[in-house]
Amino acid sequence: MTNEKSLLAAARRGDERAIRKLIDSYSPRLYNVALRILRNSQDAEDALQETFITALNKLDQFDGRSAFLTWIYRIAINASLMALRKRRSRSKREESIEVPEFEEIQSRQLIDWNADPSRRVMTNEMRELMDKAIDRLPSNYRTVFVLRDLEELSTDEAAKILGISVANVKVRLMRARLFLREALDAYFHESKEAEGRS
Amino acid sequence: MNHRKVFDNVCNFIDGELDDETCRELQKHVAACPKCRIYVDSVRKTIVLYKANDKAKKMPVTAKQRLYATIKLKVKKKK
Repeated sequence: MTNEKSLLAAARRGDERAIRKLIDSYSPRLYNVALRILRNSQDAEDALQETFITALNKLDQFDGRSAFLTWIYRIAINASLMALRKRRSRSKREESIEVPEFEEIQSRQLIDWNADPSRRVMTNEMRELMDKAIDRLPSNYRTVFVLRDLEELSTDEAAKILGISVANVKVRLMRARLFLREALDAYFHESKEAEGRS
Repeated sequence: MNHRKVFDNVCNFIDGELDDETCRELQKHVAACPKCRIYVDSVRKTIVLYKANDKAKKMPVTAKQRLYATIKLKVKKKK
């Protein structure tokens, strides 16, 4: 886009108005990806600052082969991952999760969630429960879930960004989904029991 | 195809990453097995529901102001 080209050229020269325009255009999208990964508004804000500082310093390296959004979006993900690594090195928390294995699922009485999820009215209780489940998900699993299922990157793209193998992305994604499924399954079980009582 | 294979391949199936033959076998099993159908369905709905719950958050105005200020400072320093 010519407008974007001239905006980037002006930003390269240090034009404050152009830089402000870049911030206005891209920060909402980038703030949200950082927030999805970091789950904390202050950390997301810090990652966003890092993103723009890095992007402006490296603007000469942007060759225009990809869209500017794709380029800066990757910088934002990397800044968020860096913040996560710092956070992880501070905490000694185990980065593993418990998910039901095959035998356990087989032994359970599964209930049909039946409702069409796109039509189901999500209650506040349900939203809260899902938010809490994502918060409880260890960051190495959450990041994969965010990149694959929320940001809709391909398995290959997620593997490249995270610096792990495709197989590892698949394993983490499966475990993350099963962990998040458990929270919803408990909700649907309770709802069904409550319906039965009334 | 058996229950175990469905369990192991549920994500590859949902993501369309199975080869044609395995995919057909899995579909055939799921059509005949209510338990596996419910299970596969619940994993698929998990993704749909979490995605539907993921609304973009508005960036705080103060955050943008701080961002402008930080970047302005860096740009001046660079000059």
